[in-house]
Amino acid sequence: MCEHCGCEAGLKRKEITLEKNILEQNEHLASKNRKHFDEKGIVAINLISAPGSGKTSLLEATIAQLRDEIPLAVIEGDPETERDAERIRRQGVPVVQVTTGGACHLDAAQVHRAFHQLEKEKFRLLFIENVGNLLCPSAFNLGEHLRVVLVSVPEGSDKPAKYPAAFYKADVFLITKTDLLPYFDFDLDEAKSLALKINPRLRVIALSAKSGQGLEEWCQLLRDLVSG
Amino acid sequence: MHEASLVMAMGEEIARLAKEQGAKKVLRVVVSFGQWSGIEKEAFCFAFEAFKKDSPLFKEADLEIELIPAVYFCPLCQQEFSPEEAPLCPRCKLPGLPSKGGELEIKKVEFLVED
Repeated sequence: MCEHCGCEAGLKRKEITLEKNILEQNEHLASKNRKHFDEKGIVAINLISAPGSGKTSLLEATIAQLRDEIPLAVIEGDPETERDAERIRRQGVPVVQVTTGGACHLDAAQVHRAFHQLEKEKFRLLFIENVGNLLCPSAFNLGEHLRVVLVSVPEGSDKPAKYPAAFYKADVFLITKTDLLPYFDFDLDEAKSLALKINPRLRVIALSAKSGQGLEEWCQLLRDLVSG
Repeated sequence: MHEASLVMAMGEEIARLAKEQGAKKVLRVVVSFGQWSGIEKEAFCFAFEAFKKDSPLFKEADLEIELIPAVYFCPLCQQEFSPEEAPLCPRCKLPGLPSKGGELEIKKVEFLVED
């Protein structure tokens, strides 16, 4: 650049083709997390949903069912507070709370740090409860083996059509709070077919953490995963 | 909502490359997003404009966004297809697996470098 007037004499344009993932750094850390999990024989589950879809309640019900069979641990992601971690701690399960300071998703680096805090614990199944948000967490790979997206009955059966990104990259679609089906116009078949249109390989399970309906199918899926 | 953090990640990546290349300025950035990437184009542009204000290297940079339509793969017929409605293989009618559509990619960058 010309030092007198800042004009562009002596400079040229150069185009570089990158074709590089914007989140390459996160992908790199996610694959490190994955390796870490695999070395320790741990299966990691990433739970994604809007706020209030029942992620923590599902975890409480799942822990009650499985804790005598499979040693578990939980990483809780929230913008603020330890509230969710306290709910899990009451169940006697090791838990690390990650507060993102207002950020709308967990990233692989946060999970990496949280996982180190669980180093002394022995467990086979790790639940990562993402920040309540159906948009942002879907872009961030955490190194998980299974990505689960939840929609609760009060949210409406057209959610998969409104938030396709969350379903596109998920493995399991859980329809939660089915005990409320008599009180809402939620069409189970519609929710299922909209989600399968985006991602035909999704496994869909409808359940209620409160009544226990459908919970066994979910727990069996987890047992199968852990026994490999 | 996470467009701002994506712009930051992209900026870091490009700044690193600019340093390697001895570039004085970034003139143009081309990104491509998959149909199911969850990116709001306007929010990304907005976040990029905000980012430019605080980043001298990017002050004059233009942003171009390309969208990649979703493509599915049929494991049975071993072929890719672009569905219009449900992602069913046009040949065997069985559901395909997601193949393209989740991309968040920095495609090209144009720098101003010493001649």
